[in-house]
Amino acid sequence: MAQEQPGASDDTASACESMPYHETTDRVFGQHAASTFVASEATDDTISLVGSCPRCLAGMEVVIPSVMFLANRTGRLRGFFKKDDKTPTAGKEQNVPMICLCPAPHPGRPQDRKGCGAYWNLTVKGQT
Amino acid sequence: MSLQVQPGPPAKASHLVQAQDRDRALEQELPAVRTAATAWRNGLGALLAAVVGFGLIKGRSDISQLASPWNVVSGGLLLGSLVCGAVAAILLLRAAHGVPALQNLRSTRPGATWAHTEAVSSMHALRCGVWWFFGCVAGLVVAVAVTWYGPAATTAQLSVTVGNTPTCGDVVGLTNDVLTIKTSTGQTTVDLAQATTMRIVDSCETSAGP
Repeated sequence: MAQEQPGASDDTASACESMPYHETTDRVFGQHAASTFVASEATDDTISLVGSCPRCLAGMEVVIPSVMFLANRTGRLRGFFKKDDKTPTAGKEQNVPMICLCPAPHPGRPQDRKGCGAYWNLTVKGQT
Repeated sequence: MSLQVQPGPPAKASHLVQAQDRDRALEQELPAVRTAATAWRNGLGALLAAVVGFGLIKGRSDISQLASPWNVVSGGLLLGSLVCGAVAAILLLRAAHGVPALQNLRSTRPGATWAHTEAVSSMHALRCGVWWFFGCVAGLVVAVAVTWYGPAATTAQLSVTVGNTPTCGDVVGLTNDVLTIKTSTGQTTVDLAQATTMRIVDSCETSAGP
């Protein structure tokens, strides 16, 4: 789920919208994103990453939850009697697959997709 | 705790799919929780109606007919059940429809993080609400059982009808087919040879009928 960040200039927005959708990755994407994305911790070990796409430069927010309700995939009823699995992630290093989530209408984008098609990996490490 | 962001390992197609799946699941999470909570609310409401309906089918419905201290036990259970039911209703409604309050935008920022946090809170409320509901049903069932099968407050009395006139009270004695009964208005006799009906009742007040 993404939100466009305020403050993006009109030039950036039009350049972003004119860029065709293409599912692609590059080693530079990870390096660029690591310098622009800011990670913060919300409740329940949920991580929020806010930054700009290294390909189309659109601002976005990516949420990395530690627990999630998966509709139609709730498993057996005995799961109801179990407590939520909240294994603390403090100090742990986790690899986070990222995709561009900008809402701009990139030409050629399939209906069930978002963003410009760029994807990359980030490593998020907690420091106490 | 501060979080540090570093470039990750080279991305593969599987990472793309993983990120797309995560984003899709996050987008559907809050509406799915709301839908699930609404379904649980409706289902549990119907179950409660069925339990209450069953409790009204037969047996005593007035705890004043129970002997002490069972009337106090039954009353306490009903009160506990009512409290559990109220808490369960509030939690289930909170899970299904959210909190009816304005949010301060200085401390809350609507967006993806808020949607996930709200989904987690709603799911927590739903799970707690279901537990409170089962506490309510358990209290109700035990209270109904105590009311039905608990000892009566008074000993059984005899109702004898001669012609169209019923006579009800405690049996004092029987001599030559003549029954002596102590009624609420005093002691009286009934000729059993002329009696048309005879039945044992828990209470003369309830057996008199409208």
